[in-house]
Amino acid sequence: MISYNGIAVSSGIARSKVKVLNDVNDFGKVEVGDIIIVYKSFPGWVIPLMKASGMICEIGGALSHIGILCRESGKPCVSGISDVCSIIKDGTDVMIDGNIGKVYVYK
Amino acid sequence: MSINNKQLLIEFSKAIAVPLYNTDAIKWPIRSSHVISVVNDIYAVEYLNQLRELVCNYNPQVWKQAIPSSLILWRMIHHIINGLEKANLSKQEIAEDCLLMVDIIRYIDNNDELYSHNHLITSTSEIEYLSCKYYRICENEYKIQLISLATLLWAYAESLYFQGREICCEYHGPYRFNGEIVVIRDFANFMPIDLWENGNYDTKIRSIRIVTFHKENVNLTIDAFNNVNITGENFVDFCTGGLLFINNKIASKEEIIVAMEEFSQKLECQLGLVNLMSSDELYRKYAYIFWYRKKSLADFLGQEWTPPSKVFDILSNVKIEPSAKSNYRTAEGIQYLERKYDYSIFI
Repeated sequence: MISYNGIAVSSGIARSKVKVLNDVNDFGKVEVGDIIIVYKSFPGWVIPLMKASGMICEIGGALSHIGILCRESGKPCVSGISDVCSIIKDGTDVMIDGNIGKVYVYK
Repeated sequence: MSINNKQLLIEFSKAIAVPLYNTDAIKWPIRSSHVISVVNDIYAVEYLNQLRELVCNYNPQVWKQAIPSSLILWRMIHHIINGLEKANLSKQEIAEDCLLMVDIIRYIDNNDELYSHNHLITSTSEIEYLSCKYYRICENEYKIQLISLATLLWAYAESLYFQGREICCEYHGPYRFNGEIVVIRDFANFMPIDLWENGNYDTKIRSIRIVTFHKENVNLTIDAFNNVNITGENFVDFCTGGLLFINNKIASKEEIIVAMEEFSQKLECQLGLVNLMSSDELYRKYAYIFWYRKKSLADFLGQEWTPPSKVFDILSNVKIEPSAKSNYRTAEGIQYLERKYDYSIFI
């Protein structure tokens, strides 16, 4: 298991397979319970977030779209992990701890 | 007046500093300050002239017709101050202008205080009515969908008006009643026909109000820029129930799903439209949105709301360099911003 430190943006813990989203064309690949990984804030992420159990973001602070959307939706979110979109691949088993800003990647 | 002008201006600078410190360096589709910093002197001087005209020529009882919510001013205030600085006004003049804006905000909010941790605009009797009159949506599945609808509409507001989402949504509270926290989210202006021509905006929904009730364990604040901050316990888990109003009428659980489907489609459509825009088109749109954010004031004064042509001349001749740099991410960030926007020493 590898762990990454980021910023705790929205509290809670979730563990699931991840989907890396680049743009609106990737909305369709998200399944219920997935953890989604995105590069930066974008209002459109609210649509896949409805299905997701949590979110990881490379860039984005407490008042980013993502931060606000996740906190309101009660879903954990960790941001500020450099290159996370390329480090973690689709289907990887990941746990996010939005209380302390940690992401655990299971091999 | 409960506090003097100096104290008011200190409170004012603190209220601005916190949300500015927390703001994101990268915003979608582009950070507004990158565009507006080249024309904010024109904007600020025009805005202040309009505010002075309002205050000098009209009775305070009608100010709310011109500025329906204090958010309209709050969310622009740092741009206005920066613009006045750029226009080379003296610090004393800017301090006076800040006091003018503070007075208008306090009058609109019916408050002597400048709240920076909540936004209280609904009377206690109305909160009591909302709490007691209606059967709440209490099933967990629908509560989650109700909150999801709110986040969806919030995102839709940003897709229509970018950082000018106050045109479309206003969150207020937290109100405390009968051992509960009440949060109200009001949404309107879903058809921005003055700004967008080609989107899918037709809807029978004119307004949506989402009311949620929470156990007091939730620590929720709403800052001066209407950003919601939730810390501690889970916002959804501690939601005890909710209400949905569509076009001012209480709506059923089933209508949550219908509204979600409609606005999901509209959001996707709008995002597609914005993503196709060139940088130049985005800059022009930003200028229109900036001026649109004070349209109600211009309309009230019988003036043209659109940007003057020189704004577009400047935008077409200036090279705008979007930067991902975070401005204030230092340990002293908030103190720096408080000092930057503190004009109390100039009065």
